[in-house]
Amino acid sequence: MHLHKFEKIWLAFGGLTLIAFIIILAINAFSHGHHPPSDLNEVAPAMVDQTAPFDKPGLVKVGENKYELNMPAFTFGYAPGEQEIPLGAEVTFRTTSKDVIHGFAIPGTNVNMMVVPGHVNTATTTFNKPGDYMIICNEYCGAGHHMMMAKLIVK
Amino acid sequence: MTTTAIPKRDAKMSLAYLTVAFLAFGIAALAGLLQGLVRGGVIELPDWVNYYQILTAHGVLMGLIFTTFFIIGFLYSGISKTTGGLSDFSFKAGWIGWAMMFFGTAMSVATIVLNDASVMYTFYAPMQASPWFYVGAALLVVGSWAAGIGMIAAYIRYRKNNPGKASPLFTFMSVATMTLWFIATLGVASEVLFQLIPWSFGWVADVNVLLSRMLFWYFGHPLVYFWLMPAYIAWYVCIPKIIGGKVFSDSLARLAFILLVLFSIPVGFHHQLMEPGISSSWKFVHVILTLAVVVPSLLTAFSMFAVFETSGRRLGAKGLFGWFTKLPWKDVRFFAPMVGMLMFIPAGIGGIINASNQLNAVIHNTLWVVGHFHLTVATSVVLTFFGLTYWLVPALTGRTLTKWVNRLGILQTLIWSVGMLMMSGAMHYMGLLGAPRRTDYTTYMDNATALSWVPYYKLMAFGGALLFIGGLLMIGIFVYLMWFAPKGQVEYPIAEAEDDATPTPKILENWKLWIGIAALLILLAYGYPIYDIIQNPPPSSPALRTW
Amino acid sequence: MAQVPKRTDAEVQQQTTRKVEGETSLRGTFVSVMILGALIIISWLSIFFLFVERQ
Repeated sequence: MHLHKFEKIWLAFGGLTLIAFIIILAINAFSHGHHPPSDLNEVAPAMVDQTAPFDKPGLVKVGENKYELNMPAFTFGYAPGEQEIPLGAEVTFRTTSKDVIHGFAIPGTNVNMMVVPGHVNTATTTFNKPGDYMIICNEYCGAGHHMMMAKLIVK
Repeated sequence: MTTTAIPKRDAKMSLAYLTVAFLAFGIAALAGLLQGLVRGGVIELPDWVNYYQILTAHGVLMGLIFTTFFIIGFLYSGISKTTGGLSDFSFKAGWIGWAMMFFGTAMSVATIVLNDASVMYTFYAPMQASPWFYVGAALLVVGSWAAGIGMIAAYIRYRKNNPGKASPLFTFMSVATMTLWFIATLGVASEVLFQLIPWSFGWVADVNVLLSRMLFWYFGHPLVYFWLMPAYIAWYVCIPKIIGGKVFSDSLARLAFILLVLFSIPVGFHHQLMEPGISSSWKFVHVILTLAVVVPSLLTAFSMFAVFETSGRRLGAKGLFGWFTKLPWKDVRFFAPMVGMLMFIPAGIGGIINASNQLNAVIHNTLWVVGHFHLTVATSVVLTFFGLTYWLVPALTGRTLTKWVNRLGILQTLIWSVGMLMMSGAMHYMGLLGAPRRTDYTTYMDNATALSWVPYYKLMAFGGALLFIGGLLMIGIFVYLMWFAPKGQVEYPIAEAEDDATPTPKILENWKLWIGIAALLILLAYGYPIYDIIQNPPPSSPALRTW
Repeated sequence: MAQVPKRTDAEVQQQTTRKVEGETSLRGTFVSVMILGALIIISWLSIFFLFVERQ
């Protein structure tokens, strides 16, 4: 099989570029902890309201400027529907679904995760800019999908 | 008396596939127009139809029906052409496949029309559609298997009758495409047959949601390569002939297809990167394999440019890029797929970004993704399919491509490309801002961020309207070439290898080896995660109808 | 493909020379794919930095 000299250079260049991408992603994930949301905890959809921490949805302070926001999703909303967040807080969003599959995304941040019934999912971000943010469902979940949202007020 | 480029009965069968393809395309295009206008805030739908229903129709008819019917019709015609006519067995298998696929399609579409299956073409459990939606999907898949068996039989017959000879490149590539399809559809077939059908009829109470998603995406990514590979066949085998060139390298073309079969399947987790229940390490394994499937496309990029440069230089082109102007830009058989190829540049780059592990958080489930696959499948692949239509239909009907239809085709290509650039461009940009996909018109209670997206929605709607005009034009051209164009003969362009080409290595046709390696890679990427999710099933979810 | 005759050394030599000549005529292809490579890197990095900036 004959490979043109230029083609060899091109494939080597392309291959090395892809390897470089993989290395950057690996460093970012494994040493900076920027893994995609991959929580392995489980909770039965019918038991969400009785299971901690989802039995008491809302913001919990867990450390200096560190918070957890436990926020179950359901057709077609999140609990709580509105939440104040202190400026500069690092917030871990924890969610699960009481029914079908939902999305959980905050435009302008990297918080973007799937909410699958039976599973818990988490994502963390820091709010350094004050203002109104919205949490929206970005996975089709039924007739009211486009109404499914919650408000975050950072101040 | 008309003369067709392949035996008349084979031609009729391919045309039956193409006719269903364009019928589905027409209905889907109308659904697409309505969606665009609704989301652009231009119109509101009447009470008896809802946004998610037409969105499901658009996705199913475009993504699954139009593509699959077109691909099988095209591949059968090329196999007939390059192996000297179909055997009775292959011919019958082709028709049995057509009938099952048609019946399955009708069944699924009926449930969508009745609003009993507004679940999108991904039909994620525990949202539950009518059982007949899943039965229709199963028939579609099994029908495509029947057609695939007919194609593989043609390949085996050719090898037997021509011992020691390499198979025709077109037929080899078709067999590679169908091999990929067989392996990939095992996933969705298992999901539908063993999980969703028993569950939707009420025979079993539970469904393992995460398992169903893994099985779906085991199929969902190779599905996009099932769309792309026939376009690559046109690029590698048909286009060189149209521009008066030769196949750049028979061996490299085959190698690219083998690599696509090997690497496009064990990569499904890159669609599930944002998902709970799958460990980040397994996701990373799939990310690495996904980036490996970029390599055959890098090979293809080089081969395409090389074919163009070589042919251009033969025609006396000078300088670094002189060959570019020597290409037959006024021939729609070249122009449409060429625009498709150029659009594959941003499309492919978007794909690399999507698959890049945590970067997926920026674009997951946003309109960026919709913009992305409207460049890959709806532009690169579809413009190639349109480009094929201009010669394939007349070659099969014994008619000719007239000058004015050629010109109309160039106009069609331009309308389609401009519409797509507007729509897809707006989608990509809105996706980076966070605008969600698969969502009816909404301002999220007049939220400032959501309101800032509205102008781009309008641009998207305008692009969509242009695409609809382009779509109508294409259907008109298809109907004309099918039934009204003047009788005559057009060539079925199959390029030959360069005279001094080195013989193709025998190992490339060693299917046992390649399927074995594919199975190993799949076992590596999926073996443990699937075993684990079956052994330790997550809490089950009750079925729901939420639309 | 059917008639691949055994080549003499001289013919192989000639073949190789012709290949080398052929190589010079793919300059445009090479420049094109390298532009493609640059586009891949630029686009990927811009999304990567968008991700880092939003983290």
